Amino acid sequence: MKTKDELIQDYLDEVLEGADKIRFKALLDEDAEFQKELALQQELRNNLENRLSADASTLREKLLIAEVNMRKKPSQSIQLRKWTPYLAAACLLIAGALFFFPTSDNNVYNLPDMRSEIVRGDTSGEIHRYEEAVLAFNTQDYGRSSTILRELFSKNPDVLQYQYYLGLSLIGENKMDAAATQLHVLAEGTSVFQQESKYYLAFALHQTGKNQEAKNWLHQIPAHVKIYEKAQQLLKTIK
Amino acid sequence: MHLDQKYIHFLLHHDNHGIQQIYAKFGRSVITMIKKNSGSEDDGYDILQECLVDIYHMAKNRDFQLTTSFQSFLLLVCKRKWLNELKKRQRREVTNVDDYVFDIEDTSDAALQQHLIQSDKENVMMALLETIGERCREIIKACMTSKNQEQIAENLGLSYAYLRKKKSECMAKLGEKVKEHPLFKQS
Repeated sequence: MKTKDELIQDYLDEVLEGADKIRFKALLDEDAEFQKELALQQELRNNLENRLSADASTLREKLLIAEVNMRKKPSQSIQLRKWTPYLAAACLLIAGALFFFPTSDNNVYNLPDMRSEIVRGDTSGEIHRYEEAVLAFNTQDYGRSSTILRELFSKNPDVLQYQYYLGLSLIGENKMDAAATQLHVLAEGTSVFQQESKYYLAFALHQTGKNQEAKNWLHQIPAHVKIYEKAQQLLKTIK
Repeated sequence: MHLDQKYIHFLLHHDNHGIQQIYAKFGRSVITMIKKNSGSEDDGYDILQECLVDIYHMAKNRDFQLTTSFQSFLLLVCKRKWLNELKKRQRREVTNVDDYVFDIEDTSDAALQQHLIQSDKENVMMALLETIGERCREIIKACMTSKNQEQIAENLGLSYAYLRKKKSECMAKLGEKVKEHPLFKQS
């Protein structure tokens, strides 16, 4: 028999049926604690969906850049503290954008940080190699991260995370055609990387002048996903 | 609509130039307020960034209309956040807070207060999410950002039935932590 917590989640996910539905209704009518728990879980769900759907990482990078500018004065040195990794990433992003991406609007391009864990890492050797790729990627050493991820992906073609970050690494290396080849597969698939892959595929296509193809991919990104805002910005850039 | 609504727009759209304007026009007053109340310059910058992100979240999913100046609102948000931070640090020597907080044009704005309370609750919930274990966090984040739970189960290497069971356990665990927090006990 399902627990009360399971009944609540089934109800909120709209998959409650049969005997479970009857039991849920009875609990809702008779059990005051159950009613309170349902209300709490509904509130948590609304809050989580709001927060998790609004990706603030790009905003944080821009706020940090504004902070760096504000702190800079001719006779003072910039204080580095607990945000040192973000400050370094922000400075590297600016330098990378100036050197490798001469497009006028850098709002639409920001490679995300690479996740430092694999959902399905099998061996300690593989995990260690992946961590090397993470370090290389997050310090913008895209040549190295590409090499490692290509090696990992060839040995583990079912781990789409490798292919996704390989695609992003290739963007970092400015190898847009190669990046598009990797990301195209993910964009057409159904994995958790699908929507982000559409965006970065569109970016890669735009960089090689295939703007109509890029726009087609961007239009396929639904409004409720995290990457939608960036997709809209890129669409404006292309237009 | 208040003229300063444009600053909300800058945050929502991650407008580089607009964000620079916000820092240039309003940053110093926030940092000054914090430095006058047991904080450092670094504390000031931290609180400023966190408050701007909070305002972004307030505006992102709700119809948020500024009814006071952006400076007043930002200072109000930062003051609340800094006072909470001081309580956490257990420093009680908060002095002269009111001397350095600009008057709010309309302190009786119930909608504004509601936004602030909601923002506080969301921040608490997100902080508690970080304490329930990596697997629970991963499952909750995946389930809250996608409706396709069969696909989520496959991506995480789980059966659909196990995912649903685990998700309900994780949400119950988060619920227990939230219920224990003073902010949720009050409401």
